[in-house]
Amino acid sequence: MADDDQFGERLGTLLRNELSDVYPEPGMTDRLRTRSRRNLMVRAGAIAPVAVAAAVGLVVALGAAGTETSGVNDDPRMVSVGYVRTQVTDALDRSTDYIVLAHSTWADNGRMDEWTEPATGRRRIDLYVNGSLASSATETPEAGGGARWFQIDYQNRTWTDDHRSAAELRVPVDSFQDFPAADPMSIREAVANGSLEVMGRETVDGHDTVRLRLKLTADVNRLPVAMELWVDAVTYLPYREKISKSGRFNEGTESVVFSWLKRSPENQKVFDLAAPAGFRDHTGGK
Amino acid sequence: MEFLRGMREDPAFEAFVERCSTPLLRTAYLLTGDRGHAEDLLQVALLRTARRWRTAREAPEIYVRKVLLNLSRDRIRRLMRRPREKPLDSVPDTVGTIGPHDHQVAERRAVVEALARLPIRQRQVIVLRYFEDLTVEQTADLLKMSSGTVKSYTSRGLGRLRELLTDNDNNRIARTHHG
Repeated sequence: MADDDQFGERLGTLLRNELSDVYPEPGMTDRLRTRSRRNLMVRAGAIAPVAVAAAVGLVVALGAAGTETSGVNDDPRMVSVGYVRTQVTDALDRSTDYIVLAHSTWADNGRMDEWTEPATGRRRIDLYVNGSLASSATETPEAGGGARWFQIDYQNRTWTDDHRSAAELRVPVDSFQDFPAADPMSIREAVANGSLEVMGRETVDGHDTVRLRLKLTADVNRLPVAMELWVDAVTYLPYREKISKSGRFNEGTESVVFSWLKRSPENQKVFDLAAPAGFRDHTGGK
Repeated sequence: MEFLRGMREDPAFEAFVERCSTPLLRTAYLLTGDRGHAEDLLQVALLRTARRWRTAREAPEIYVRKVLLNLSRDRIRRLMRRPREKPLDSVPDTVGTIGPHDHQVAERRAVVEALARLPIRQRQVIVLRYFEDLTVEQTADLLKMSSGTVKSYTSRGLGRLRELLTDNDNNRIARTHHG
């Protein structure tokens, strides 16, 4: 251990030297004040469009994209923003009937498949790098409020099996949560709280959809986030989602296509992930 | 709003931010391996501390570090789910003459890069023990784990760092101290 300590102390010295010229940008307290105000504005701003729409009885015609008109709600094709918001959030409240597969792609050929089972809270994530499956992970809620996180790293041929306690999971998540993720509850949150526009009917890959546009202000590096959502014109369940971010970090567009799978034993097998033969246990850095 | 009120009423918070931002940013940098995320993590941790200032003011250094450690763990998990952005200022490997100073710089950078490749728990333990010079007991308290677990993560983390640094031809530290 003495040798370990000597090695560790040497590392510490090198790290301190390497970071000796790293300082926060000046005016930290001012930036915290600004950020705190911005958080309040996001919350207030998300509520305002709903209130305005309700107050004036704003009605949007579902015609071609970008041809919204105001009018009276006596045409079956004419629905208010509030009506669409309610239909989508209600539909997503029923997502416990399904396993949701979100197929995400990025501009740089990145790809991720994420299955969620809202009824049980189970998730599986397959991440592809340069077209090859790089990792698979499942998150399984456990009794007592904790969760098991099992991950296979195909590139390094290792697997890890971690557990997080309820207390660890209760720690408030960081501001990354402001990004609408590709799971039903995150989309519901975005639709319920974002500034919503109904753009019109649109046929996507043969699906009759209603196209929605949401504006959010995620509080990560002050990035504006624009989100477009195509919901099924009959069920109001999301069919396609497109998120655009701009700024110094994470600039780009993420496109997601959803499949709503029946909760059958066959479809639930996707959550049964096991370590492939010959892979090494890397739990805790073994 | 509570934060804004807190800042007007208690200048101790502002003094705390001025005093601790630099060491906290450096710790956040080592935990995340990314300057932009470190800045963001620090701001989120300070805002959370501000919102709980009545509780945190008794021992704000401990409170904010606990927040920072928890946030870093969640942040890294989320980053693992998404492709990492490429650094804008990557330097090409075209060094001509290598002097003693270049070796020192390369050695320090190799340590930072090796640290970023450790699993998050090992990374947290190594940073707290040897960058922040905390005792095993202080580290255990911050990470809510036993002293034995801290020692185990320390041993594994140092062992892995030795492997990674030995693989690096530009680095002599692992060979020098590996006994």
